[in-house]
Amino acid sequence: MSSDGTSPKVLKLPEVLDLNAASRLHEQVLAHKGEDIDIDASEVSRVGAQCIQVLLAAARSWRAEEQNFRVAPASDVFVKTLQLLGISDEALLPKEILK
Amino acid sequence: MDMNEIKEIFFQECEEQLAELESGLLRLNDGDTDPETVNAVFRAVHSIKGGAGAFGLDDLVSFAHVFETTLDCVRSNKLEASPDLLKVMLRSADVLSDLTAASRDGGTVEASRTSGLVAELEAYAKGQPLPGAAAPAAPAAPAPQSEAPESPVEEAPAPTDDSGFQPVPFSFDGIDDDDELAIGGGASVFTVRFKPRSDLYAKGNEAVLILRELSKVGELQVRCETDDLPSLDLLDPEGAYFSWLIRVETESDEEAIRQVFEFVEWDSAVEITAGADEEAFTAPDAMGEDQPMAAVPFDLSLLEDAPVVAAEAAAPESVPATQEPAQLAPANMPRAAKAIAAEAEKKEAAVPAVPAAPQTIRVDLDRVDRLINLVGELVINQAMLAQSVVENESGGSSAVNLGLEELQQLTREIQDSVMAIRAQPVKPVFQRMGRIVREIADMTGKSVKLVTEGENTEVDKTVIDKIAEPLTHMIRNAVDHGLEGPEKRTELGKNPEGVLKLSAKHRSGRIVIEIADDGAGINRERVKAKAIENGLITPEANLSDEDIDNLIFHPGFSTADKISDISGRGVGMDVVKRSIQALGGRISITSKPGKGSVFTMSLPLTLAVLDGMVVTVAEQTLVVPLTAIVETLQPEKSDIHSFGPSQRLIAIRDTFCPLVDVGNILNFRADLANPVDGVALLVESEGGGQRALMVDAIQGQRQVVIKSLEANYTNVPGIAAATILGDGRVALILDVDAVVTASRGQPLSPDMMLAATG
Repeated sequence: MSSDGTSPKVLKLPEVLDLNAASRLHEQVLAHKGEDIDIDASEVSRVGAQCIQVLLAAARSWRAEEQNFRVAPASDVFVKTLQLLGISDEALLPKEILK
Repeated sequence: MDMNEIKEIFFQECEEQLAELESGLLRLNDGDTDPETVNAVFRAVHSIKGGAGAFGLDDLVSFAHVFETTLDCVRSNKLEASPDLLKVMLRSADVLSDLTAASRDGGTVEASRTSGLVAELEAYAKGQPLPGAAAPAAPAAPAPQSEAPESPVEEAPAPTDDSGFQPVPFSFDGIDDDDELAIGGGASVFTVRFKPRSDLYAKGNEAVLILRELSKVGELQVRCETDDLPSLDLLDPEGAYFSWLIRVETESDEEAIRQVFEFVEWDSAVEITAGADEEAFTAPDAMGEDQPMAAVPFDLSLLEDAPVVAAEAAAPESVPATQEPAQLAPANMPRAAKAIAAEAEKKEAAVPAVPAAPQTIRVDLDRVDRLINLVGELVINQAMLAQSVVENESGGSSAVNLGLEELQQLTREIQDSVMAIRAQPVKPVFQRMGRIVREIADMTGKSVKLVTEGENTEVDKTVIDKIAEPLTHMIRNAVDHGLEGPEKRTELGKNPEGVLKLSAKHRSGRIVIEIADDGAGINRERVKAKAIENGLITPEANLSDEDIDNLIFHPGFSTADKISDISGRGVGMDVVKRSIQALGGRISITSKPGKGSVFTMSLPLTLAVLDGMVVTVAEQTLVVPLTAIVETLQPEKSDIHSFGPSQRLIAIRDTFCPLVDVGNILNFRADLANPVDGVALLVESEGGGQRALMVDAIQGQRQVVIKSLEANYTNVPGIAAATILGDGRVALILDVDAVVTASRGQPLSPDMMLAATG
């Protein structure tokens, strides 16, 4: 990947990622486009499907641009919600859970 | 609000749903293929079932359930809405309506009726799968074993029985084994497709919560379809792109699953099918090889070692297992997925096309009546005020007059608007006729198509309630006597299916309802012979065709050779005519031999106000309904002829007409008035004859608000109702038919109950 040397930007997700948070999250993610990014989901205590849509779309677009997009660390709730929704994108699920 | 009130509301809603159901089915019958129509029909049955469940109406629930199951097959295109099936469904709608009525009013519906239909519906639901209709990609594999063994298939439909569903025909053998392992121990497997629309989120619902709820029903395997997700730039963060394919393994029934989606049903596409759709879970998406969208690993572990808490399970070693069966059918999945997506999209697209229903509220009829009554008082009061201003004012202040005029306009407008509240389309009555036609057609072995027109024509609720009965009678007559049997029709070169047309329209302030059949028309020879036989006419009488046709309205006249079960029980068209006249209406018939007959009835739009002629009789003020009056005339002395001791006739043009002294009949005066001093009102009375009612003077013509005498005082023979005039005095509304009958020598008697405005 392109930017191994520099430490990636970290986007810390708020505690609640519901419908109201989706727009803001979308803007925040867009603002980081073109650079490696780590998503810190450790604080997340509630997450809705729409925010996950944003994150999954982001993960795909980062992958298409060959940039790093990684969710780590992630709270239990975040991981469990992804599993409940049947989302298995490796960029969203922390590695240790997938493998 | 107590339980009974809620229940009452439920039954009211049931009525609406039943009407919706029937009109939907009829539209399907006419070849409508709009999926939204099927959805509407399904929703109707589903809502009835849901409500009935809440009130513990088990009969209703179990029948509705079977009905719904079959409808669901139609909805998901597994079953074609063939004419035969629709016939069964229409009959089921009738039974459902009877069951609803039985639940409300007590009583029962014959078990044989329901069980027969249940069996038929079930046979349709499982017996006639349409090959390849559901998924073109599916090989013609035998349907995977359903859960039939543990589901009862007997007559009484257990609410849990979902085996009637044709499982989605994705199947291949490699998976069937796994399937068997998975569903051991009495659990059933369902496949749920769930595609939320953005509305779902906008309304504060959350797919996550729904899935979590669903996970409480049973073990889930969730597969998220993310193909619709656009790129990040194009993404609407509040849009809905995900859809889910969920395999539910549960001890509960389909209903439990459906309940999870209860509140989001209209904001998402939800499809629940019995049986597993393994392929969808195991085949990787062959379209995009870089998308790691294979089934979530823990899903597969379920197939191997039974219960694992879904969310916790992460079993990487099972990943290879997913690949193996998947390769058996690499091409199927994308097509199937597309088909699902296309279907979901179709549903999504179909919904906005439905116009939003206008907002309505339910109001107790009593309250409306009270309002109407008050507005009536207001109108009277306004008239009184106007009159006293006119009387007291000599100079004539224009400001007062102007204000009065405005007040008059306002009150009239208020009155019209209030009347409009009670105005309702005749649709529900017309729909009930559909059922009657079906029943009679079945009983008589005739094939009849009912065509309705103008069912949105509005008329006062009181009128609607009262036309159902005469209408029913006329429809029965038309099918039983009017239309010929199919063989006869074929012989005559007509379409074996008879057409009965029921139409409503507004015409000059009245509603006109026509019942037209394309049957044999009136057999004038027979009518005449019968009339002579019954002594209604003399054999020499020279009657026009119209006169003969109108003979059928004579009391006790029935032309049917045989007395059938349906009509002709000695209760003839005279009863129809009388009840229509009691509503202030008229009925007439035109008939063409071989072409059919048309019954036309014309009714007032409301029973709350009446156009009347205000007359004076022996210093009393009376109101004569305008509908009864044919003409008014000033008698000449030379036209009056005495006849017997007290009878008099008046010559009008070429005919003689009995003169009826209203003042004498109502006992306003003991002696007979001199006809030359008064005015004669030529009225048409029951039985078609004309009479000249003699009154002293005509004051004018006006609209009056009807006040029931029976409700406020007691029934007075000869008087239909009362009203209050502008000067505050009570005026009686004349019951023309009663007065005419009394003039024939029968005294007015209290038991002559002739209603309102006859």
